Amino acid sequence: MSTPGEGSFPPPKVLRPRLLPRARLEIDRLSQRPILLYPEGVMMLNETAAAILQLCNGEYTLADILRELANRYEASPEQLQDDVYEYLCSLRDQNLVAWLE
Amino acid sequence: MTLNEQQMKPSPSPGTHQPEDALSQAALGNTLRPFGLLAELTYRCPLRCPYCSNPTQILSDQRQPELTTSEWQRVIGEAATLGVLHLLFSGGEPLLRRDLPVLVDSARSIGLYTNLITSALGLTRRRLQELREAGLDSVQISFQADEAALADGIAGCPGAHEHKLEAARLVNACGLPLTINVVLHRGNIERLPALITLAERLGAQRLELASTQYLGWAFCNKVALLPTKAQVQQAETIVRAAQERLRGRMEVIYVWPDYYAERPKPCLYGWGRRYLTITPEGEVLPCQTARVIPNLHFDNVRQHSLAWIWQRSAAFERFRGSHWMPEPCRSCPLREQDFGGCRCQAFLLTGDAANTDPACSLSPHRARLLAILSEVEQQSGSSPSFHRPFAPDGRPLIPILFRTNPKSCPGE
Repeated sequence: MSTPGEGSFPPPKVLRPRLLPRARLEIDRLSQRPILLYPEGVMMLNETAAAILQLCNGEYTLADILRELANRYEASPEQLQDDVYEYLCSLRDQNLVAWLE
Repeated sequence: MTLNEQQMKPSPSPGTHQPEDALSQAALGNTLRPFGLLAELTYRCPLRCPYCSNPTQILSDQRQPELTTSEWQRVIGEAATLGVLHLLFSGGEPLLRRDLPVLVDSARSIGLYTNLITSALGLTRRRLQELREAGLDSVQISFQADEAALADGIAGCPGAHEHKLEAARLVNACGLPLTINVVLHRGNIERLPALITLAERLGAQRLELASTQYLGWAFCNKVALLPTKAQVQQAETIVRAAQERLRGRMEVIYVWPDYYAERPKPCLYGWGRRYLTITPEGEVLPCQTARVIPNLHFDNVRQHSLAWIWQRSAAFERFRGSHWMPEPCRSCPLREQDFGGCRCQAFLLTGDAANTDPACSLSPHRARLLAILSEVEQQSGSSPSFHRPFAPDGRPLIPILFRTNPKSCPGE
Protein backbone atom coordinates (compact mmCIF):
# COMPACT_ATOMS: atom_id res chain seq x y z
CA MET A 1 0.00 0.00 0.00
CA SER A 2 2.51 2.58 -1.06
CA THR A 3 1.31 4.21 -4.25
CA PRO A 4 -0.73 7.39 -3.96
CA GLY A 5 -4.41 6.78 -4.15
CA GLU A 6 -4.21 3.79 -1.90
CA GLY A 7 -4.04 5.97 1.16
CA SER A 8 -0.32 6.20 1.75
CA PHE A 9 0.79 8.53 4.54
CA PRO A 10 2.21 11.05 4.71
CA PRO A 11 0.43 12.36 1.61
CA PRO A 12 2.70 12.88 -1.40
CA LYS A 13 2.50 16.66 -1.46
CA VAL A 14 4.71 17.07 -4.48
CA LEU A 15 2.31 15.18 -6.76
CA ARG A 16 -0.18 17.06 -8.92
CA PRO A 17 -3.75 15.77 -8.86
CA ARG A 18 -5.63 16.14 -12.09
CA LEU A 19 -9.31 15.67 -12.80
CA LEU A 20 -9.40 13.22 -15.71
CA PRO A 21 -11.03 14.31 -18.97
CA ARG A 22 -13.80 11.74 -18.50
CA ALA A 23 -15.11 13.81 -15.59
CA ARG A 24 -16.57 17.29 -15.92
CA LEU A 25 -17.56 19.89 -13.35
CA GLU A 26 -20.90 21.53 -14.02
CA ILE A 27 -23.53 23.51 -12.18
CA ASP A 28 -26.78 21.57 -11.83
CA ARG A 29 -29.45 23.60 -13.52
CA LEU A 30 -32.22 22.60 -11.10
CA SER A 31 -30.43 22.90 -7.76
CA GLN A 32 -27.76 25.41 -8.84
CA ARG A 33 -25.25 23.25 -6.99
CA PRO A 34 -21.91 22.03 -8.31
CA ILE A 35 -21.93 18.52 -9.73
CA LEU A 36 -19.35 16.16 -11.16
CA LEU A 37 -20.43 14.31 -14.29
CA TYR A 38 -18.65 11.22 -15.61
CA PRO A 39 -19.70 8.22 -17.72
CA GLU A 40 -23.03 6.97 -16.36
CA GLY A 41 -22.58 8.88 -13.14
CA VAL A 42 -23.06 12.10 -11.24
CA MET A 43 -21.95 13.31 -7.84
CA MET A 44 -23.59 16.22 -6.11
CA LEU A 45 -20.74 18.24 -4.63
CA ASN A 46 -20.61 20.53 -1.65
CA GLU A 47 -18.81 23.83 -1.95
CA THR A 48 -15.54 22.48 -0.53
CA ALA A 49 -15.45 19.47 -2.83
CA ALA A 50 -16.05 21.72 -5.82
CA ALA A 51 -13.29 24.08 -4.66
CA ILE A 52 -10.85 21.17 -4.38
CA LEU A 53 -11.69 19.77 -7.81
CA GLN A 54 -11.39 23.17 -9.49
CA LEU A 55 -7.78 23.16 -8.33
CA CYS A 56 -7.07 19.66 -9.67
CA ASN A 57 -5.73 20.83 -13.02
CA GLY A 58 -2.52 18.80 -13.09
CA GLU A 59 -0.44 21.92 -12.49
CA TYR A 60 -0.90 22.56 -8.78
CA THR A 61 0.74 20.16 -6.34
CA LEU A 62 -1.21 18.83 -3.38
CA ALA A 63 0.79 21.29 -1.25
CA ASP A 64 -0.33 24.19 -3.50
CA ILE A 65 -3.93 23.06 -3.23
CA LEU A 66 -3.79 22.78 0.55
CA ARG A 67 -2.28 26.26 0.79
CA GLU A 68 -4.95 27.75 -1.43
CA LEU A 69 -7.78 26.06 0.46
CA ALA A 70 -6.26 27.10 3.78
CA ASN A 71 -6.32 30.71 2.62
CA ARG A 72 -9.88 30.45 1.47
CA TYR A 73 -11.28 28.70 4.54
CA GLU A 74 -9.09 30.31 7.21
CA ALA A 75 -7.53 27.06 8.32
CA SER A 76 -4.04 25.64 8.27
CA PRO A 77 -2.92 23.27 5.49
CA GLU A 78 -2.23 20.66 8.17
CA GLN A 79 -5.82 20.79 9.40
CA LEU A 80 -7.14 20.21 5.88
CA GLN A 81 -4.55 17.72 4.74
CA ASP A 82 -6.10 14.42 5.77
CA ASP A 83 -9.61 15.17 4.55
CA VAL A 84 -8.50 16.54 1.19
CA TYR A 85 -6.10 13.69 0.62
CA GLU A 86 -8.67 11.08 1.54
CA TYR A 87 -11.22 12.67 -0.78
CA LEU A 88 -8.81 12.75 -3.70
CA CYS A 89 -7.79 9.16 -3.07
CA SER A 90 -11.40 8.04 -3.21
CA LEU A 91 -11.79 9.80 -6.56
CA ARG A 92 -8.60 8.19 -7.76
CA ASP A 93 -9.99 4.79 -6.86
CA GLN A 94 -12.95 5.59 -9.08
CA ASN A 95 -10.59 6.57 -11.87
CA LEU A 96 -11.73 10.19 -11.85
CA VAL A 97 -8.52 11.81 -10.60
CA ALA A 98 -4.93 10.97 -11.54
CA TRP A 99 -1.80 11.92 -9.63
CA LEU A 100 0.86 13.35 -11.91
CA GLU A 101 4.55 13.36 -10.98
CA MET B 1 -25.91 -2.86 -31.88
CA THR B 2 -26.69 -4.32 -28.55
CA LEU B 3 -29.18 -2.16 -26.86
CA ASN B 4 -29.35 -4.66 -24.13
CA GLU B 5 -26.26 -2.96 -22.84
CA GLN B 6 -27.67 0.28 -21.62
CA GLN B 7 -30.69 -1.20 -20.15
CA MET B 8 -28.47 -3.14 -17.83
CA LYS B 9 -26.46 -0.27 -16.60
CA PRO B 10 -28.97 0.88 -14.08
CA SER B 11 -28.80 -2.46 -12.36
CA PRO B 12 -25.48 -2.45 -10.53
CA SER B 13 -24.25 -5.10 -8.21
CA PRO B 14 -24.76 -4.15 -4.58
CA GLY B 15 -21.97 -2.06 -3.19
CA THR B 16 -20.73 -0.53 -6.42
CA HIS B 17 -20.72 3.20 -6.47
CA GLN B 18 -23.47 4.28 -8.77
CA PRO B 19 -25.06 7.55 -9.67
CA GLU B 20 -28.11 6.71 -7.63
CA ASP B 21 -26.04 6.62 -4.47
CA ALA B 22 -24.90 10.14 -5.04
CA LEU B 23 -28.31 11.29 -6.13
CA SER B 24 -30.26 9.84 -3.29
CA GLN B 25 -27.75 11.01 -0.74
CA ALA B 26 -27.86 14.52 -2.07
CA ALA B 27 -30.52 16.92 -3.13
CA LEU B 28 -32.88 14.56 -4.89
CA GLY B 29 -34.05 12.22 -2.19
CA ASN B 30 -37.22 10.58 -3.36
CA THR B 31 -38.23 13.20 -5.87
CA LEU B 32 -38.86 12.15 -9.44
CA ARG B 33 -36.14 13.44 -11.69
CA PRO B 34 -34.83 11.86 -14.85
CA PHE B 35 -31.08 12.19 -14.85
CA GLY B 36 -30.47 9.94 -17.82
CA LEU B 37 -32.05 10.06 -21.25
CA LEU B 38 -31.46 7.15 -23.60
CA ALA B 39 -31.91 8.56 -27.09
CA GLU B 40 -32.51 5.68 -29.49
CA LEU B 41 -31.79 7.52 -32.71
CA THR B 42 -32.55 4.59 -35.00
CA TYR B 43 -33.30 0.87 -34.80
CA ARG B 44 -31.14 0.20 -37.85
CA CYS B 45 -27.93 -1.64 -36.98
CA PRO B 46 -25.19 -3.50 -38.83
CA LEU B 47 -24.99 -6.06 -36.01
CA ARG B 48 -27.50 -8.82 -35.32
CA CYS B 49 -26.68 -9.72 -31.72
CA PRO B 50 -29.06 -12.38 -30.43
CA TYR B 51 -29.48 -10.55 -27.09
CA CYS B 52 -30.42 -7.14 -28.49
CA SER B 53 -33.10 -5.36 -26.50
CA ASN B 54 -34.60 -3.60 -29.50
CA PRO B 55 -38.17 -4.73 -30.19
CA THR B 56 -38.35 -8.27 -31.54
CA GLN B 57 -41.01 -7.20 -33.99
CA ILE B 58 -40.38 -4.05 -35.92
CA LEU B 59 -43.06 -3.89 -38.54
CA SER B 60 -41.93 -1.40 -41.12
CA ASP B 61 -45.43 -0.69 -42.42
CA GLN B 62 -46.65 0.32 -38.97
CA ARG B 63 -43.73 2.55 -38.22
CA GLN B 64 -43.62 6.31 -38.15
CA PRO B 65 -40.65 8.14 -39.62
CA GLU B 66 -37.66 8.65 -37.34
CA LEU B 67 -37.55 11.94 -35.47
CA THR B 68 -35.93 14.71 -37.48
CA THR B 69 -32.88 16.67 -36.42
CA SER B 70 -34.95 19.63 -35.27
CA GLU B 71 -37.37 17.39 -33.36
CA TRP B 72 -34.47 15.82 -31.49
CA GLN B 73 -32.95 19.24 -30.80
CA ARG B 74 -36.22 20.43 -29.26
CA VAL B 75 -36.44 17.30 -27.14
CA ILE B 76 -32.83 17.62 -25.96
CA GLY B 77 -33.54 21.16 -24.77
CA GLU B 78 -36.68 19.98 -22.96
CA ALA B 79 -34.72 17.16 -21.36
CA ALA B 80 -32.14 19.56 -19.92
CA THR B 81 -34.90 21.77 -18.50
CA LEU B 82 -36.45 18.70 -16.91
CA GLY B 83 -33.18 17.95 -15.11
CA VAL B 84 -31.55 15.37 -17.37
CA LEU B 85 -27.77 15.35 -16.95
CA HIS B 86 -26.72 12.44 -19.14
CA LEU B 87 -27.60 11.99 -22.77
CA LEU B 88 -26.87 8.51 -24.09
CA PHE B 89 -26.92 8.41 -27.88
CA SER B 90 -27.87 4.90 -28.79
CA GLY B 91 -29.94 2.82 -31.18
CA GLY B 92 -29.64 0.58 -33.20
CA GLU B 93 -26.44 2.13 -34.37
CA PRO B 94 -26.53 5.90 -33.75
CA LEU B 95 -23.70 6.53 -36.23
CA LEU B 96 -26.18 5.69 -38.99
CA ARG B 97 -27.70 9.10 -38.30
CA ARG B 98 -25.71 11.66 -40.26
CA ASP B 99 -26.87 14.42 -37.93
CA LEU B 100 -25.27 12.84 -34.85
CA PRO B 101 -22.60 15.58 -34.47
CA VAL B 102 -25.31 18.26 -34.63
CA LEU B 103 -27.25 16.52 -31.87
CA VAL B 104 -24.12 16.07 -29.75
CA ASP B 105 -23.42 19.77 -30.14
CA SER B 106 -26.97 20.67 -29.09
CA ALA B 107 -26.67 18.55 -25.95
CA ARG B 108 -23.17 19.59 -25.01
CA SER B 109 -23.81 23.29 -25.49
CA ILE B 110 -26.45 23.18 -22.74
CA GLY B 111 -24.18 21.28 -20.36
CA LEU B 112 -25.36 17.70 -20.82
CA TYR B 113 -22.81 14.89 -20.54
CA THR B 114 -22.83 13.19 -23.93
CA ASN B 115 -22.06 9.53 -24.37
CA LEU B 116 -22.00 7.65 -27.66
CA ILE B 117 -23.11 4.02 -27.29
CA THR B 118 -21.93 2.35 -30.45
CA SER B 119 -21.01 -0.86 -32.21
CA ALA B 120 -18.16 1.25 -33.69
CA LEU B 121 -19.14 0.24 -37.21
CA GLY B 122 -18.97 3.50 -39.09
CA LEU B 123 -16.71 5.14 -36.53
CA THR B 124 -14.02 6.46 -38.85
CA ARG B 125 -11.27 8.90 -37.97
CA ARG B 126 -13.22 11.66 -39.69
CA ARG B 127 -16.51 10.99 -37.91
CA LEU B 128 -14.70 10.78 -34.61
CA GLN B 129 -13.10 14.14 -35.28
CA GLU B 130 -16.51 15.66 -36.04
CA LEU B 131 -17.96 14.23 -32.86
CA ARG B 132 -15.04 15.38 -30.78
CA GLU B 133 -15.34 18.89 -32.16
CA ALA B 134 -19.05 18.82 -31.37
CA GLY B 135 -18.09 18.18 -27.74
CA LEU B 136 -18.69 14.47 -27.29
CA ASP B 137 -17.66 13.50 -23.75
CA SER B 138 -17.29 9.74 -23.92
CA VAL B 139 -17.45 6.75 -26.26
CA GLN B 140 -18.70 3.29 -25.39
CA ILE B 141 -17.89 0.46 -27.80
CA SER B 142 -19.47 -2.96 -27.54
CA PHE B 143 -17.33 -6.06 -27.93
CA GLN B 144 -18.84 -9.51 -28.35
CA ALA B 145 -15.72 -11.55 -27.53
CA ASP B 146 -11.95 -11.22 -27.33
CA GLU B 147 -11.14 -12.64 -30.74
CA ALA B 148 -12.53 -12.07 -34.19
CA ALA B 149 -14.11 -15.34 -35.27
CA LEU B 150 -16.17 -15.85 -32.13
CA ALA B 151 -17.02 -12.14 -31.82
CA ASP B 152 -18.18 -11.86 -35.42
CA GLY B 153 -20.23 -15.04 -35.03
CA ILE B 154 -22.04 -13.65 -32.00
CA ALA B 155 -22.61 -10.29 -33.69
CA GLY B 156 -23.72 -12.01 -36.90
CA CYS B 157 -21.46 -9.61 -38.78
CA PRO B 158 -18.21 -10.68 -40.45
CA GLY B 159 -15.34 -8.24 -39.96
CA ALA B 160 -17.01 -6.38 -37.09
CA HIS B 161 -14.41 -7.23 -34.44
CA GLU B 162 -11.44 -5.98 -36.45
CA HIS B 163 -13.28 -2.74 -37.07
CA LYS B 164 -13.99 -2.34 -33.35
CA LEU B 165 -10.31 -2.80 -32.50
CA GLU B 166 -9.32 -0.11 -34.94
CA ALA B 167 -12.07 2.23 -33.73
CA ALA B 168 -11.01 1.75 -30.10
CA ARG B 169 -7.47 2.77 -31.07
CA LEU B 170 -8.80 5.86 -32.83
CA VAL B 171 -10.87 6.84 -29.80
CA ASN B 172 -7.78 6.62 -27.61
CA ALA B 173 -5.62 8.44 -30.11
CA CYS B 174 -7.97 11.42 -30.17
CA GLY B 175 -8.07 11.55 -26.38
CA LEU B 176 -11.70 10.64 -25.81
CA PRO B 177 -12.50 8.47 -22.77
CA LEU B 178 -13.24 4.90 -23.83
CA THR B 179 -15.67 2.47 -22.24
CA ILE B 180 -15.76 -1.13 -23.41
CA ASN B 181 -19.01 -2.97 -22.92
CA VAL B 182 -19.34 -6.73 -23.14
CA VAL B 183 -22.66 -8.48 -22.77
CA LEU B 184 -21.91 -11.77 -21.04
CA HIS B 185 -23.65 -15.03 -21.84
CA ARG B 186 -22.82 -18.72 -22.11
CA GLY B 187 -21.10 -18.15 -25.45
CA ASN B 188 -18.42 -15.80 -24.08
CA ILE B 189 -18.45 -15.93 -20.27
CA GLU B 190 -15.51 -18.35 -20.22
CA ARG B 191 -13.49 -15.78 -22.18
CA LEU B 192 -13.64 -13.29 -19.27
CA PRO B 193 -9.91 -13.21 -18.47
CA ALA B 194 -9.09 -12.55 -22.12
CA LEU B 195 -11.86 -9.94 -22.35
CA ILE B 196 -10.44 -8.06 -19.37
CA THR B 197 -6.97 -8.21 -20.91
CA LEU B 198 -8.37 -6.88 -24.18
CA ALA B 199 -9.95 -3.89 -22.42
CA GLU B 200 -6.66 -3.13 -20.67
CA ARG B 201 -4.72 -3.43 -23.90
CA LEU B 202 -7.13 -1.06 -25.63
CA GLY B 203 -6.66 1.51 -22.87
CA ALA B 204 -10.30 1.53 -21.74
CA GLN B 205 -10.98 3.67 -18.69
CA ARG B 206 -14.12 1.75 -17.94
CA LEU B 207 -15.15 -1.83 -18.61
CA GLU B 208 -18.75 -2.92 -18.30
CA LEU B 209 -19.21 -6.64 -17.94
CA ALA B 210 -22.93 -6.91 -18.22
CA SER B 211 -24.71 -10.19 -17.80
CA THR B 212 -27.38 -10.55 -20.44
CA GLN B 213 -30.78 -9.32 -19.32
CA TYR B 214 -33.31 -11.77 -20.67
CA LEU B 215 -35.62 -9.30 -22.37
CA GLY B 216 -36.18 -8.54 -26.04
CA TRP B 217 -34.25 -10.88 -28.34
CA ALA B 218 -32.40 -12.29 -25.34
CA PHE B 219 -35.65 -13.65 -23.93
CA CYS B 220 -36.21 -15.58 -27.19
CA ASN B 221 -32.71 -17.02 -26.81
CA LYS B 222 -32.60 -17.50 -23.05
CA VAL B 223 -31.94 -21.23 -23.00
CA ALA B 224 -29.20 -20.81 -25.60
CA LEU B 225 -27.53 -17.91 -23.77
CA LEU B 226 -27.98 -18.45 -20.04
CA PRO B 227 -24.71 -19.46 -18.38
CA THR B 228 -24.65 -22.33 -15.93
CA LYS B 229 -24.42 -21.67 -12.21
CA ALA B 230 -20.82 -22.90 -12.18
CA GLN B 231 -19.90 -20.48 -14.97
CA VAL B 232 -21.54 -17.58 -13.12
CA GLN B 233 -19.70 -18.37 -9.89
CA GLN B 234 -16.38 -18.55 -11.65
CA ALA B 235 -17.07 -15.29 -13.47
CA GLU B 236 -17.74 -13.50 -10.18
CA THR B 237 -14.40 -14.63 -8.78
CA ILE B 238 -12.59 -13.40 -11.88
CA VAL B 239 -14.39 -10.05 -11.89
CA ARG B 240 -13.72 -9.38 -8.21
CA ALA B 241 -10.02 -10.05 -8.67
CA ALA B 242 -9.93 -7.74 -11.69
CA GLN B 243 -11.77 -4.97 -9.83
CA GLU B 244 -9.21 -5.14 -7.04
CA ARG B 245 -6.22 -5.34 -9.35
CA LEU B 246 -7.36 -2.52 -11.63
CA ARG B 247 -8.65 -0.13 -8.98
CA GLY B 248 -7.67 3.42 -9.92
CA ARG B 249 -6.72 2.42 -13.46
CA MET B 250 -9.83 0.99 -15.04
CA GLU B 251 -13.32 1.09 -13.60
CA VAL B 252 -14.74 -2.43 -13.84
CA ILE B 253 -18.53 -2.60 -13.60
CA TYR B 254 -20.17 -5.96 -13.22
CA VAL B 255 -23.87 -6.40 -13.78
CA TRP B 256 -24.80 -9.59 -12.04
CA PRO B 257 -27.08 -12.14 -13.66
CA ASP B 258 -30.36 -11.63 -11.86
CA TYR B 259 -31.66 -15.07 -12.80
CA TYR B 260 -29.11 -16.40 -10.31
CA ALA B 261 -29.80 -13.83 -7.60
CA GLU B 262 -31.99 -14.00 -4.52
CA ARG B 263 -33.22 -10.43 -4.84
CA PRO B 264 -34.19 -8.62 -8.04
CA LYS B 265 -32.21 -5.81 -9.60
CA PRO B 266 -33.40 -2.28 -8.76
CA CYS B 267 -34.48 -1.91 -12.35
CA LEU B 268 -33.79 1.65 -13.53
CA TYR B 269 -33.89 2.69 -9.85
CA GLY B 270 -37.63 2.63 -10.10
CA TRP B 271 -40.10 2.99 -12.94
CA GLY B 272 -40.42 6.59 -14.13
CA ARG B 273 -38.08 7.82 -11.44
CA ARG B 274 -34.57 8.36 -12.89
CA TYR B 275 -34.58 7.40 -16.58
CA LEU B 276 -36.31 8.09 -19.85
CA THR B 277 -36.00 6.33 -23.19
CA ILE B 278 -37.08 7.94 -26.44
CA THR B 279 -37.55 5.61 -29.39
CA PRO B 280 -36.53 6.50 -32.96
CA GLU B 281 -40.13 7.53 -33.68
CA GLY B 282 -40.49 9.69 -30.58
CA GLU B 283 -42.34 7.45 -28.16
CA VAL B 284 -41.25 8.06 -24.60
CA LEU B 285 -40.77 4.92 -22.53
CA PRO B 286 -39.88 4.45 -18.87
CA CYS B 287 -37.46 1.76 -20.04
CA GLN B 288 -36.29 0.66 -23.44
CA THR B 289 -38.13 -2.64 -23.46
CA ALA B 290 -41.37 -1.36 -21.91
CA ARG B 291 -43.31 -1.85 -25.15
CA VAL B 292 -43.40 -5.56 -24.42
CA ILE B 293 -45.96 -4.83 -21.69
CA PRO B 294 -49.50 -4.91 -23.09
CA ASN B 295 -52.09 -2.22 -22.49
CA LEU B 296 -49.64 0.57 -21.78
CA HIS B 297 -50.09 3.68 -23.88
CA PHE B 298 -46.87 5.53 -24.63
CA ASP B 299 -47.04 9.20 -25.46
CA ASN B 300 -44.99 10.74 -28.23
CA VAL B 301 -42.84 13.87 -28.23
CA ARG B 302 -44.56 14.80 -31.49
CA GLN B 303 -47.78 15.35 -29.53
CA HIS B 304 -46.59 16.43 -26.09
CA SER B 305 -43.69 18.13 -24.37
CA LEU B 306 -41.24 15.90 -22.57
CA ALA B 307 -42.18 17.52 -19.25
CA TRP B 308 -45.86 16.73 -19.81
CA ILE B 309 -45.04 13.13 -20.62
CA TRP B 310 -42.74 12.73 -17.62
CA GLN B 311 -45.34 14.18 -15.28
CA ARG B 312 -48.61 13.00 -16.81
CA SER B 313 -48.14 10.06 -19.14
CA ALA B 314 -50.21 7.08 -17.97
CA ALA B 315 -47.41 4.68 -18.88
CA PHE B 316 -45.09 6.44 -16.44
CA GLU B 317 -47.70 6.61 -13.69
CA ARG B 318 -48.59 2.94 -13.98
CA PHE B 319 -45.68 1.49 -11.96
CA ARG B 320 -44.40 4.54 -10.13
CA GLY B 321 -43.90 4.38 -6.39
CA SER B 322 -45.33 1.38 -4.56
CA HIS B 323 -49.14 1.73 -4.85
CA TRP B 324 -49.32 -0.82 -7.67
CA MET B 325 -47.34 -3.45 -5.81
CA PRO B 326 -48.81 -6.80 -4.85
CA GLU B 327 -47.58 -8.84 -1.93
CA PRO B 328 -44.87 -9.80 -1.14
CA CYS B 329 -43.53 -6.43 -2.40
CA ARG B 330 -46.18 -4.24 -0.76
CA SER B 331 -45.06 -4.99 2.78
CA CYS B 332 -41.41 -5.71 1.95
CA PRO B 333 -38.83 -3.52 3.69
CA LEU B 334 -36.79 -3.54 0.47
CA ARG B 335 -39.57 -2.17 -1.74
CA GLU B 336 -37.95 1.28 -1.98
CA GLN B 337 -34.57 -0.29 -2.74
CA ASP B 338 -35.33 -2.81 -5.47
CA PHE B 339 -38.73 -1.41 -6.53
CA GLY B 340 -40.05 -4.94 -7.01
CA GLY B 341 -37.51 -5.61 -9.77
CA CYS B 342 -38.11 -5.43 -13.49
CA ARG B 343 -41.65 -4.93 -14.85
CA CYS B 344 -40.79 -6.31 -18.28
CA GLN B 345 -39.25 -9.43 -16.78
CA ALA B 346 -42.28 -9.88 -14.52
CA PHE B 347 -44.50 -9.76 -17.58
CA LEU B 348 -42.36 -12.10 -19.68
CA LEU B 349 -42.13 -14.70 -16.93
CA THR B 350 -45.57 -14.44 -15.32
CA GLY B 351 -47.85 -12.82 -17.91
CA ASP B 352 -48.59 -9.87 -15.60
CA ALA B 353 -46.23 -6.89 -15.38
CA ALA B 354 -47.63 -5.99 -11.93
CA ASN B 355 -46.33 -9.19 -10.36
CA THR B 356 -43.19 -9.36 -8.27
CA ASP B 357 -40.18 -10.01 -10.50
CA PRO B 358 -39.50 -13.77 -10.25
CA ALA B 359 -35.81 -12.90 -9.86
CA CYS B 360 -36.86 -12.37 -6.22
CA SER B 361 -36.82 -15.59 -4.23
CA LEU B 362 -39.99 -14.37 -2.46
CA SER B 363 -41.96 -14.23 -5.71
CA PRO B 364 -44.84 -16.71 -5.81
CA HIS B 365 -43.88 -17.26 -9.47
CA ARG B 366 -40.26 -18.05 -8.72
CA ALA B 367 -40.76 -21.61 -9.99
CA ARG B 368 -41.03 -20.36 -13.59
CA LEU B 369 -37.58 -18.85 -13.45
CA LEU B 370 -36.15 -21.88 -11.68
CA ALA B 371 -37.62 -24.14 -14.37
CA ILE B 372 -35.66 -22.24 -17.03
CA LEU B 373 -32.45 -22.54 -15.00
CA SER B 374 -33.05 -26.21 -14.46
CA GLU B 375 -33.50 -26.70 -18.21
CA VAL B 376 -30.11 -25.04 -18.70
CA GLU B 377 -28.43 -27.23 -16.08
CA GLN B 378 -29.96 -30.41 -17.47
CA GLN B 379 -28.97 -29.67 -21.04
CA SER B 380 -25.51 -28.46 -20.07
CA GLY B 381 -24.59 -32.04 -19.22
CA SER B 382 -25.97 -33.32 -22.49
CA SER B 383 -23.44 -32.15 -25.06
CA PRO B 384 -20.35 -29.94 -25.38
CA SER B 385 -22.07 -27.87 -28.04
CA PHE B 386 -24.73 -26.84 -25.55
CA HIS B 387 -22.04 -25.70 -23.16
CA ARG B 388 -20.43 -23.59 -25.88
CA PRO B 389 -23.26 -22.43 -28.14
CA PHE B 390 -20.81 -20.88 -30.64
CA ALA B 391 -17.95 -22.82 -32.25
CA PRO B 392 -14.50 -21.17 -32.09
CA ASP B 393 -15.06 -20.08 -35.68
CA GLY B 394 -18.25 -18.31 -34.65
CA ARG B 395 -20.80 -20.74 -36.11
CA PRO B 396 -23.83 -21.21 -33.85
CA LEU B 397 -23.94 -24.82 -32.70
CA ILE B 398 -27.47 -24.75 -31.32
CA PRO B 399 -30.51 -22.89 -32.63
CA ILE B 400 -30.09 -19.17 -32.01
CA LEU B 401 -32.38 -16.42 -33.22
CA PHE B 402 -30.39 -13.43 -34.48
CA ARG B 403 -32.00 -10.03 -34.43
CA THR B 404 -33.34 -8.70 -37.69
CA ASN B 405 -33.38 -5.17 -38.95
CA PRO B 406 -36.33 -3.00 -39.75
CA LYS B 407 -37.16 -3.82 -43.34
CA SER B 408 -37.15 -0.26 -44.53
CA CYS B 409 -35.83 2.90 -43.05
CA PRO B 410 -38.57 5.48 -42.96
CA GLY B 411 -37.29 8.99 -42.52
CA GLU B 412 -34.08 8.31 -44.41
